[in-house]
Amino acid sequence: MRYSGLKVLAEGLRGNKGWGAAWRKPDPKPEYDVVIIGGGGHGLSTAYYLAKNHGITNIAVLEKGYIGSGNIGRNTTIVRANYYMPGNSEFYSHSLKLWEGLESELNYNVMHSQRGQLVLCHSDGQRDTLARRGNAMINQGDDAELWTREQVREEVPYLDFEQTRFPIYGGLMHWRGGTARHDAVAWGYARGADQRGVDLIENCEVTGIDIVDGIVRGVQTTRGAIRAKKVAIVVAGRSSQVAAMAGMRLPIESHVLQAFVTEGLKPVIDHVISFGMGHFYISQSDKGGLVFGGDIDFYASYASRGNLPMVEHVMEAGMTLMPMIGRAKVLRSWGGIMDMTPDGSPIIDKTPVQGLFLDAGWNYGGFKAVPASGWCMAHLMATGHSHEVAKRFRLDRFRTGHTLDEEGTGSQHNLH
Amino acid sequence: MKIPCPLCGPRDRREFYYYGSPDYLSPVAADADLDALDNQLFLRDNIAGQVQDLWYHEGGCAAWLKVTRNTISHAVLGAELVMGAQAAPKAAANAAPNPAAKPVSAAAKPAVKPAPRTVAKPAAQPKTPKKDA
Repeated sequence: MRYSGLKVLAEGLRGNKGWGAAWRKPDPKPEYDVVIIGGGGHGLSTAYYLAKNHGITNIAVLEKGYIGSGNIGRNTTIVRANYYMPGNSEFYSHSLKLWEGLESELNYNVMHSQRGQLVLCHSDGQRDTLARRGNAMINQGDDAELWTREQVREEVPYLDFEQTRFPIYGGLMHWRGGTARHDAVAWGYARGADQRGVDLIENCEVTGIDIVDGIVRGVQTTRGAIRAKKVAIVVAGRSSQVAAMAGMRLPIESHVLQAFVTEGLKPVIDHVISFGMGHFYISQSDKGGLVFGGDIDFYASYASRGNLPMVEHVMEAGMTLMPMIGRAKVLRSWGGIMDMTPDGSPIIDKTPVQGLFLDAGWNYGGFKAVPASGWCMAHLMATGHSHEVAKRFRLDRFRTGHTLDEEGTGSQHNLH
Repeated sequence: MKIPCPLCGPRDRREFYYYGSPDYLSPVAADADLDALDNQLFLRDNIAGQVQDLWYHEGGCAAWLKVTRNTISHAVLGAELVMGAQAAPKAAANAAPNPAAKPVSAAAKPAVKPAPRTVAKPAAQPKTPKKDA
């Protein structure tokens, strides 16, 4: 069924009886060409692009919960292409271009809003790094404007320009950055993949990976055994648990990232604002809630919830940056499981097991990567070669020294 | 979340710096093969459940701790000093105890008996009035 304005009108006149389920709920078959472990943003987009770009449709996506229950439903919805390092820069640039065509591509309203993302700076040195980053973005073919303090004040007057602890020196404005509705992205890719013949198997947890003579044969699940020629592990924070089923240790440490949303407010924050000193980022959803977050809690965790010290820290950062939000009530807070790597950059690669692929290590930046991650993972699985814009996301790059340390904080999983 | 520092007692999580896995405690030689270095620096078990990890009491005694925790429930089950844990294997390796060695735990007898301390009892404090809820 194709969604359109005409359809909305017609169904409205018919009492909305004609809407069908957005995707089927089939039982798993005993065998597929491809099994994708993980029905989150990246797993679904991988399935979609395998079908769309490569004509591979005999695919099962195995999701242990319900579609949208993982990090794809928990993030702070920021979409941007302002990375600096070669290896990252071209990848996120490619992803943003996919975002810009996504609603037409998926025939689904993902509410992609390119409202601009502003990164603030608070020292001369930091302004220099923003200038360098902006130049890298422009060289990549993306947009960036280096703003003075006055230019920031004109666009975003409600920031605290009087505070002297972290004075606002200026900022880098990326107008093509913004937000998207995270649930809709999952549903759009799920529906798109399903329409192309992909089986989405929910409530199906993988409990084992079958490997014979170094070649993957299939998986064991809570809904039976499934044979497959190719298997992809796309499970974000649980990558180590699933990789262990294949006898592998990964360069990943799982951490909790908290996120918060306030009660609905009248439109007050028109951009995505990132604090240069407190690692705080905020935007306002179309429902009116302020959506914001900060650092990970910094200790390894699978709890999907964090603790009060980081809650306090995030609130402090918010109040330092924009005291006007102080009266808003925080409605909900939650956490997700972040797959942190020693350089903060992701992995899209084959594994030593033939036919077994890995897409992981997104740290807490996976949402913006959903389109390109699926595109590149599909390319790798279909052709056997890395896509040009993802070719540095190697699993063994730590061992070989070809790390992509975007933050420049060194080789410690929780520092990125 | 409180971390039970063996020297300071249970202290708020904010006083500590989290490093990572005890893999860091087994340094490999700089000329070791790449797999050994990869294992020690980057590859992790990353268990969902009971783990041990390294915390530094930055806002307290500056001791390095090996904390036993559950990464699913966040329960903190115990902590030991890294220094103590590393010294213990060396002592066990000495099969025959050296009779000349002074036992570490014997307390030195003070030359002068310290004067007894007298602590004045604090004056009775007035009860704080109940605050309105």
